[in-house]
Formats: sequence, structure tokens, C-alpha cells
Amino acid sequence: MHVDPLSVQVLAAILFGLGLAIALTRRNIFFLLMGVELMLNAVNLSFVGFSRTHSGEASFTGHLSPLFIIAIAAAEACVGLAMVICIVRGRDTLDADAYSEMKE
Amino acid sequence: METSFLWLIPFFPLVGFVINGLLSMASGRGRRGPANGFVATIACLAPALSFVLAWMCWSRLGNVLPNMQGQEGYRGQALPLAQTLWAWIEGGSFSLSLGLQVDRLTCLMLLFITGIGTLIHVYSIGYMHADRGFARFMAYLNLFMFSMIVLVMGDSLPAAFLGWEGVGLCSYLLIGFWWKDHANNDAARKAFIMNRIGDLGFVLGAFALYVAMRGIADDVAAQVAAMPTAEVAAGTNPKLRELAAILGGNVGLSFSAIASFFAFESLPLMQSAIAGQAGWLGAATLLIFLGCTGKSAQLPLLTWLPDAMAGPTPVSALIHAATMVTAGVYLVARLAPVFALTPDTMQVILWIGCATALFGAIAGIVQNDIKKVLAYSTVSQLGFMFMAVGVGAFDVALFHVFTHAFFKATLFLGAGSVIHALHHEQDIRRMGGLAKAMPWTHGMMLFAFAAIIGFPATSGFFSKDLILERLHHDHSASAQWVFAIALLTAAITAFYMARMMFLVFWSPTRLSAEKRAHVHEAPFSMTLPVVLLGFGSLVAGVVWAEALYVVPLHLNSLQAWLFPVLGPAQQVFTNAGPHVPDPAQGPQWFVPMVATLAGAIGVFAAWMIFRGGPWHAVVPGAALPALSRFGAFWTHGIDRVYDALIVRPLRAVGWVLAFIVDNAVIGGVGRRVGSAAYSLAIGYTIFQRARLRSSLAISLIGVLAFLDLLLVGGIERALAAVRSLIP
Amino acid sequence: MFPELSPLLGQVYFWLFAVIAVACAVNLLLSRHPLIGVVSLIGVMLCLSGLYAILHSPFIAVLQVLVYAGAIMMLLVFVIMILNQGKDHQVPGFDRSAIIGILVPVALAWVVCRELPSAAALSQAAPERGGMHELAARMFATGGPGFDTGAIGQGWWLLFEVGGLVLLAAVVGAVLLAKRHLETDADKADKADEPARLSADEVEAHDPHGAH
Repeated sequence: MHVDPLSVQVLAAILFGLGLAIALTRRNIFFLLMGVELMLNAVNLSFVGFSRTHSGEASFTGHLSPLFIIAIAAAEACVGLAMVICIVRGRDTLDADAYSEMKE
Repeated sequence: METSFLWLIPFFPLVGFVINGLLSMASGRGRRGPANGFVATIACLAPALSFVLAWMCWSRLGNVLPNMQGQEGYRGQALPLAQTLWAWIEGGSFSLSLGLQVDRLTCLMLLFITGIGTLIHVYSIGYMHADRGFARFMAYLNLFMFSMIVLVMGDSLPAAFLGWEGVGLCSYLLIGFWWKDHANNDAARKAFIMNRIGDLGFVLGAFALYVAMRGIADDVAAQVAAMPTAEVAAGTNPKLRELAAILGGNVGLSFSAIASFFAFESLPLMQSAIAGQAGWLGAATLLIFLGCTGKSAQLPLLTWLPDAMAGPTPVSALIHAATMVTAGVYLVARLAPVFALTPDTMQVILWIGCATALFGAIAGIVQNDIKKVLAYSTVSQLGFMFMAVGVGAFDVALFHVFTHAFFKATLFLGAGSVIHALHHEQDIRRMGGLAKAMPWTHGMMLFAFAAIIGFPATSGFFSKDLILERLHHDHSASAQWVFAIALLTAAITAFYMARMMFLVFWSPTRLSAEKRAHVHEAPFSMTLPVVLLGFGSLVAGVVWAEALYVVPLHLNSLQAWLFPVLGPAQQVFTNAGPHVPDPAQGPQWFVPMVATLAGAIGVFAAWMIFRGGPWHAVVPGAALPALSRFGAFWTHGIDRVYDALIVRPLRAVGWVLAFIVDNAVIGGVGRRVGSAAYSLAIGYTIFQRARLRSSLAISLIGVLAFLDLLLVGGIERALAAVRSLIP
Repeated sequence: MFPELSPLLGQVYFWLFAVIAVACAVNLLLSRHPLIGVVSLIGVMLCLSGLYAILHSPFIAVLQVLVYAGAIMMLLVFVIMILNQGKDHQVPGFDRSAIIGILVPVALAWVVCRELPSAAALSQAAPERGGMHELAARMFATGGPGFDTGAIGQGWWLLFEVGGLVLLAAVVGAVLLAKRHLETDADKADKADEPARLSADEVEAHDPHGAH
């Protein structure tokens, strides 16, 4: 393969870091969700990248895990967005920092 | 012998119950109930048909010739009629089928239960005709007849227990029949709960009896196995072979099995086995007797019966005087072979019967409610029956059950007529002078009064006299004491019954003029049963008229009739066959004379005090409060004892459990744990950030540190650094 | 299935996609409006799809476009449009605590990247291909031409079914969560009957110290 596997993994790490940064810094709840999605994608990329550097069953697992991650991500997005609708309806704000009653 | 009709005897009242019950339910919402005529026809027909069938049973069980001097004559036709209905309980080595049987004991019970029951059904038509719940009342009465018939016809202890519980249920339903009055419901609950205590004894007693029989059977089987086989096989002892055959089968709780089982108690090896199980046998008989004290209102479980007078008067007559309360006597007589083996239990029965008779008689003096007087009189008479049982005179006890059913039913029905005529006035202090207004009722109650005080030649005279005689002739010293107390009780009985008669019928009237105008004789449907029962209470004693020993009539047919059932057990006590008077001794005057004298003294005392009206006519006014205080103390004394011995300790235990164990200990631990967890949680919130992002970031720093250590091998390096620090 | 790319072209495409993906991700980080963020994220995902294709996983590449860029992002856009009430700009993009939020991921990525070259798993091997045919044969252990069923094992069908179940549950849950009027007519009638009690409950529910 012509693509350097190390580059793939580094790219995955960078994207994961960016996703994490988005999830940690942005206060808008949509950006939070998008950061999580980005992190999931970075992990997928990492899996696919590793599937190129293993043989047999391990390689195959690298192909297959992203399938399930995508399915679960779809479910997560579905429920997450529904919860966002629910919360925003009750509070009228998209600021994640406003949802801080847990420490009361 | 054709016995397949037996199931019809309980079936008819059951059909009556179902029909009337459905009618009652169907018309429950309407303003008027179903037509009284139809309901009454169904309800009265059912026990009447059962009575006819019971009569058929009687004829098939064989007649006894009036003169039974020869021993063989007592045997007669003794085989019981039996019908097995279906297999009931099958479990391992235990199997029990539900069946009905009619032997002579059952037949006696059946005859007067269905006979008097039918008359009281007829009486109820007149007494209850205006009540909205007429159909319901008749349905309950029929259900009671069904249960009572099952109780006496059941061929095993569990089958009898079905009827036993059934009559308890009907008693509850009928005491609380006028359920709109809360006091009636309380009385019903009281009867039900106190009967449950007794029923627990019944069940435990049945279990204990099974255990005992099992143990005896195993013991005997072991002894037989240890014998030289030749002796068993050669049949040198035919009884032994018979016994081995019986023991080879299953030990059952059917009455015939119990009777045949203990019929071998004279065999030496059986006796040693019985001695080995004496503890279980004693427990069984005592517990079963506890059941009898509940059902038959003996000490200490008697206070429900006076309260049970809250029910309609026909119920008091049928259930709480004539039939149900005598079930305890029936049960002891039915298990006579077992009770005969436990003399200690018999002593207990004797003394409890004696104490109950005296207690009830004294309580009867101070009652002002006409039905309460009769209720305590019932308690007292039941005590007489158990006294007879206590000295092993089962046949005499049943004879008294029989005669008592007549005269007590008459008294109750007569009282019901009086109450009916006075528009539900029950206080005898506000009656008087009714003899002219209600001649029939007065006459019949006079007959029953004569019977209960033991006026010569009436039914009660024979039966009570026989009880006293058996007590007197018993060898034990305690029986002589009991005999003396019984005589005293007989005098008191005459006193309080005469008091009731004086206050109700013979003293100057204390009715208001308005009420006096409305007093009327009861309708025909009510008078007829009273008349029949009244004459019955005069002449019912003829079935054992020989007891007089004055005229050698030898009409002791009841004794001979019952001999095949009860004779073997009674021989343990009397060591003789049926009590045949010795002509050489001549008439035995002593006991009848003394008993009659006691009754006469009681009546005379009552005449002295009450001929003019209640106490205050004679007793000085200052003594009246003390008298009423004594009455309250005596009447409610047992309830107070319950309260002090059972209710208060239970309340105290409950308080301890609720406030100390539950609230302080368990609740305290719970609260401590809860508050500790709460404090921990409050303390822990110091480490938490309110904002999600911040806490996430902080946790990620931890992840980062851990990852760094893991990937770079920092853990080893850190460990090495720590190790290097340690010298 | 896919024509083998020439080595140089492969390198070019990889770096192209990588740069665009990172650029889009950075844009996502910095953008003010969620819709711009969504578009950036779609860009990232399309780039990743291309990368999967280069990495011989065509089936995942297709799914990436269909499910992520198509369905999930569509849903996100939809929800943003529903809830967009002109208040986006009132939520500040960054604040003081964002510094830590930047530093931690950077440190994390740095630690991982520092250790990656020494990872033994990065040597080239003889990988399987990620076409649909191969994936299906492996996932359901059906075997097929060129596959030894004995070597495949039991397959992953159970996990597959569970995944389907999770999706179904998520759909039901989402409907329940987002539905506005869940109460039945009977509940409404109850509420109408007992306004006093309800208001008392509400007071208690809104009292932050009520729980204590």
C-alpha cells in the first residue's frame, strides 16, 4: 500500500483531538454533539487504518468494527437530538453550561 | 345394602342454598326481594327431605328391641351405611377419600338436626317474613343445614372439618345478618375469630392424632416382625392376624379406620405401643378438645356465644342452642376410642365442663336480656354435657344433647315469639304478665322450663339425672366434687330459669298501656314449631325412660342403639356393659331425689324474690348497684381476662416492635446509613464542577496522565523511582 | 472492485483528503453558527469516506456517505433549523475555561503521536479487503466462493441483530422524548379536576430546596 499507515493514525489522532477540543470548548450544545461525532469518525479511521496493517481475522475486525460504530452512532445521534429538543423546549437555551443542576 | 342415596341428605339443603342464594343475589338491587312463598317452600322442603332420608337411614340401621337384657341384643344391626364420593387427598403413603357415613351416632344427630332444623325453618317464615333479606336468610339457613349434615356425616376427620368450618362460616354470616348495626358485625367477628382459635386446635389435633397412629402402627409392625413367624402364621392369635391386616393398610384419618385401629387396644403389644405414643395421643385429644371448646362455647372460649345472640332469634335457636354448639360433644363422642386412652384429657374435660356449667349458671342470674339468659343457660347445659363426657358417659352426653335440642329450641323460639310480639323488646325487666296474652307460647315455654329444671318425667329430667348419676357412680374422687358442683348448678339453673319465667310471664305486667294493647300471639307458622318442640321437650326423654329406675320400663333403647358405636370405648370407664339396673337393688332413689330437690329449691327461691317483679321488689335498694356491678363483673370477667392476658401483652409486644425494634433500631440504622451517605455525597460535591465541560476536561487530564504512563512505560519508571527512594 | 491507484496518485489523494479534513475540523472548531459547523463536519466525513476508499474499505466508505453525511447530518441540520430561534449568537463560542479544553486534546494527541512510530502493529501485512461481499461472508459466516467457513467461526450475526435492536429502541425512545403531548385525555381530565393539588405539586417541583 502506498499510504503510510503511520500518517493515517496520526491523522486519526489529530481529528480525534480536534473533536475532543470541540466537545470541551464549545458551549453550544450542537457543537458538543458534532465534536462527539467527529471523535467517533476519527476512531473509525483508526480502525480502518489498522485493518491495513494486520492480516486475517484482525484485519477483518478492523473493517467490521466501523460498521457497528456507525450503527451505534446513528442511534446515538437519534436519541441525542431528541434529548436536545426535549431540553431546549424546557429551558429555552442551547448553552450546555446552563444545564448544571447536578451539583445542587 | 343400598347406600347410594346418602349423598342426597346434604345435597337437598345445598340445592336450597344455591337456589335461594341466586334468587337473593339476582334481586339484590331491587326494592323488594323474591316472593316469600317460593323462597320459603324451597327452604323448608330441603331439610324436610333430608329428614325423610335420615329416617330411612334409621330404619336401615336396625331396630333395637325395647327390652335388651341379653348381651347379643345390644349388637343389633351395627354396620354403618357408607358411601365414598371421590378420592380427595393422595400424597405418598397417605390417601384419603371423601365419603359420607351414617352409623347410629350420626343417625341420631341427623334426625334431630334435620327434624328440629325443619321446624325452625318453618318458624323463620313467620319471624322473618317482613325482612328485606328473607331469601338471603333462608339461603344461609340452608347452607348451615348442609354444613351441619356434612359435619356429622363426614367419614373422616378432614371431611368433618369441612362441615366444622362450614357451620362456623354460617354462624358468622347469620350473627351478622343485620349488618347495618355495627355491634352485630363485631359480635359476628368475635364468634368467627374465637372459633378460629378452636379450629386451629382441631387441625393440629388431627395432625397429632395421625402422628400418634403412625407411630403406634410402626411400633406394632416392628413387634410383630420380631415375633416368631410361626406364631403369626399359625394363627394362634386370630386377633393378631386381624391387627396385622389392618396395620398392613394405610393409617388413615377416617373414623372407621380410627375406630378399628383402636379396637385392638387391649392387645399387649398394642398397649405398649400406645404407651409409647402417650404424649402424642394426649396432645391430639387436648387439641381436639380445644376445638370443641371453641365450637361448643366452653371455658376459656365461651364469650362469643352470648354475643352471638345479636343474630335473629331462629338462628340463636338452631345454631347457637340446638345443633352447632353440640358439635363439640359429637366430635368427642365420635373419637371416643381415642379419648378413652387419655384419662388426663378426660379429667380436663370433666373440670372444664364443670367450671363452664357453674359459670354459665351464675351468669344467667344477672342477665336482663331474655336471649342472653338463654345463651348462658346454653353454655351451662353444654358444660353438663362435657361433664358427662369427662366421666366417659358418651351416650348420656348425647342423650342430653338430644333432649337439650328440644327444650332449648323451644325456649329460644318462645323467646322469639315474645320478642316478636313486643316489637323487639328483649329486656325482661320491661315484660311481665304475658301468660294471658300469649297462652300457646307460655304453655310451651312452661314445658321447656319444666324440662330444663328437671321436673320429673320431662325429657331434661332424664338426661340431667343420668349425668348426675354417672358422676355419682364414677369411682374417681374428683367426680364426687364435680357431682356436688353439678347439683349446685342444677339448683342455680332452676333459679335463673324461674326468674326468667316469672319476669316474663307470671309477674305483674310492666308494659306500657300502648304496648299492652299490641301484644299478640304469634302467627300459626311460628306457633306450630313451638308447639311441636314443646311437646317434644316433654316426651323426648322416653327414649331413655328407664333411667328413672323407679318403674322398670327398660325403655333404654337409646343406650342400646348407641352401644355398637360407643360401647367399646365406654367399657374402659365403666368396666361393664351398658348400665343395666340390677333388679335386686330395687329403684334407685337417691340421685333423682336430690336433683329434684335442688330444682325445687331453685324455683322456690325465685318465687320468693321475683313473683312481684325484678330484684327491687324484694332486694333492698342499696344492694342494687352492687348487684349490677357483680353482674357486669361476672358477665365481662372473661373478656377482661382475655384483655389482660392476651390483648394487652400483644399490644405491648406490638408497641415494643413498632417503636423500639422497628422505629428505633431498624429505622435508626436506616436513618444513620442514609444520613451518612448524604454527608459523604455533600462532601464529595467539593470535587465536582458544576459545568459538564470542566469536569470532563479534568477527568481527561487523568486519562492523559494514565495514558502517558502506560504508553511510555512510565509506570515502571515511577516504580523504579519509588524503589530507589527506599534505602 | 476498485482499480488499484498508482502509488503517486494514492499519496496525492491521501494528503489532499487529510488536509481538507483537518481544515474542515478546525473550521468546525472555530465557526460561530451551527449550520456552518454542520457543513464543515460533512466535509470532514466526505474526506474520510475518500480515505476509506483509498484504504481498501469501499463498503465502509459508502456507508460513511450514506449514514453519516446523509442521514445523521441531515437530522442534525433539521434539528438545528427547528430550534434555531436566533439565539445562537448569544451563546459565546469560547470562554476562559476553553484554554484547558484546547490544551488537553493537544496533549492527548501529542502523547499518542509520540508513541505511534514505535507501535509494532504498523508494519505492513497481507490485509483482507473490505468489500461488501467479503464483509457479508464474514459477518454472517455464510462462507462463499473463496472463503473457508471453518476458519470464519460463528460469525457476528448476533451482534448485528443486537445492533438492529438498539436502533429500533433508539427510534422509539427518540419519538417518545421529542413528542410534545404524551399525556392522554384521562390525564388531562385528572389535571382539570384537581387544579389545587397540581399547583401545589408544581410549587414543590420548582422549589430547588424542596428535596431537602
